[in-house]
Amino acid sequence: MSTLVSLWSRAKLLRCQRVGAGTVVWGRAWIHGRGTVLLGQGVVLDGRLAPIELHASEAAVIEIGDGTIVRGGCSVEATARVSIGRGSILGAYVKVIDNQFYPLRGERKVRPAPVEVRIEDNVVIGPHVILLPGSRVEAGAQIGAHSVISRRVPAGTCVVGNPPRCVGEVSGWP
Amino acid sequence: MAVRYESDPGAPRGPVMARLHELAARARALWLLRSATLGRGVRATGWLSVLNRGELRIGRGVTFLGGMIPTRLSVRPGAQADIGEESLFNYGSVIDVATRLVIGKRCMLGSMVHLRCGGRGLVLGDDVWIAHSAVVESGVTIGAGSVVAAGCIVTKDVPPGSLAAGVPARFLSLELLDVRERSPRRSPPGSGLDLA
Repeated sequence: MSTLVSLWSRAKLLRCQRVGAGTVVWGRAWIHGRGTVLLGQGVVLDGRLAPIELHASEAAVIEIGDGTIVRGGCSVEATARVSIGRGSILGAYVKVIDNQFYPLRGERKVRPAPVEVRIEDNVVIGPHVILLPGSRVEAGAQIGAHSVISRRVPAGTCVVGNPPRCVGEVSGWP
Repeated sequence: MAVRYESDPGAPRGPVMARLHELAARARALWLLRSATLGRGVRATGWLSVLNRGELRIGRGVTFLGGMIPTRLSVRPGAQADIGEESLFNYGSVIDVATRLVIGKRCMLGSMVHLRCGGRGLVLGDDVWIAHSAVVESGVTIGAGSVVAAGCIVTKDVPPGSLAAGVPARFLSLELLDVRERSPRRSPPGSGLDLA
C-alpha cells in the first residue's frame, strides 16, 4: 500500500529535479515553471484542503528540507531562491514570494530584483502567513496566523501580526 | 499600456504558441463572462466563477489570471460593477458586489484579494495595485496610483499615491519612499518598501 502511495506521489512530483525518499503528496500539488524544485526526504505536501503550488521560474530554485510539512493552499513562487529548512511546518494558504514582481513607484513593467527567502529548521508558520521578499525566519521560530513577514525573524521567537511583533520566545528553545 | 504578466518570463514561446494561448484566453473569457458586457480583448487564462445578476461591465484588455483557486466574481441583483481598461486580476480573488463597484484603469489585483463591496460600494482609482490577500472593506475609495500592501485590511479611504499597509491600514505617501532610500538605515532590498 505504501508503495502505491509513494508511486502515486512520485507521479505528481515528476517535475521536481530531486525528490527524497519517503516524500508524499496528499491531494493536489501543482509544480510548474522552468526552474528547479528540490525536495528532501520525508517531505509531506498535504494538498487535500487546496492545491499546493510550487512555481520556480527560469533559473530559480525552491528547496524544501527533510521532514517538512506543507499544508494545503500554500503557494511558493521563486524567481531566484526560496529555501525551506528541515522539520518545518508551513500552515494552510501560506504565500512565499522572493520577488514583489512590480515596483512600488515608477514603470510597472520593470520587475524589481529578487531577494532570497530563507526559512530555517524547525520553524512553525501559521496559516495565511505571507513571507515577502527578503524574509528570513531563523531556526525554531513560530509565526502566528495571518502575519506578514518582510524581514528577519530571530531564532526561537514567536512573531505575530501585521506589522509583525515579537510576542515571546518558544519555551525550551536553547 | 497593459502589464502583461507571463507566468514564466524567460520561457521562449514561439509566436504560434503565444498566439494560440492568446486566442484560448480570449475564448475562455468570452465564455466565462458571457453574462457581462465585455470590451475588446478581455482574457481569462484560468477558471473564473462568475455570477452576474446585476450589471457587469468589463473594459477592454482586462486580464483574469488563473491559478490554483478560481476567482469568484458575483454581482447581486440591482448592483453595478464597472471594471476599467487593462486591469489585471490574479487567482483566488473574491469580489462580491452588493451595490456599486468601480475599478479604474490599469489596476492590478493580486491573488486572494477580497473586495467587500457591501452597502456602501467600493471605488478603486486608476493604477491601483492591491497586493496578495488584502481586504478592502465597503465604503472605501482608494485613490489613484496607490498601493495596498500584502495582507492589509483597508477600512478607510486611501489617499492617492499612498502605500497602505498593516492591519488596520496605515498610510504612507509613496513620495516619502525616496527619503528612505537615501537614509543610512535602508530597508533591505526587495522588502515591501523598495523602489523600482
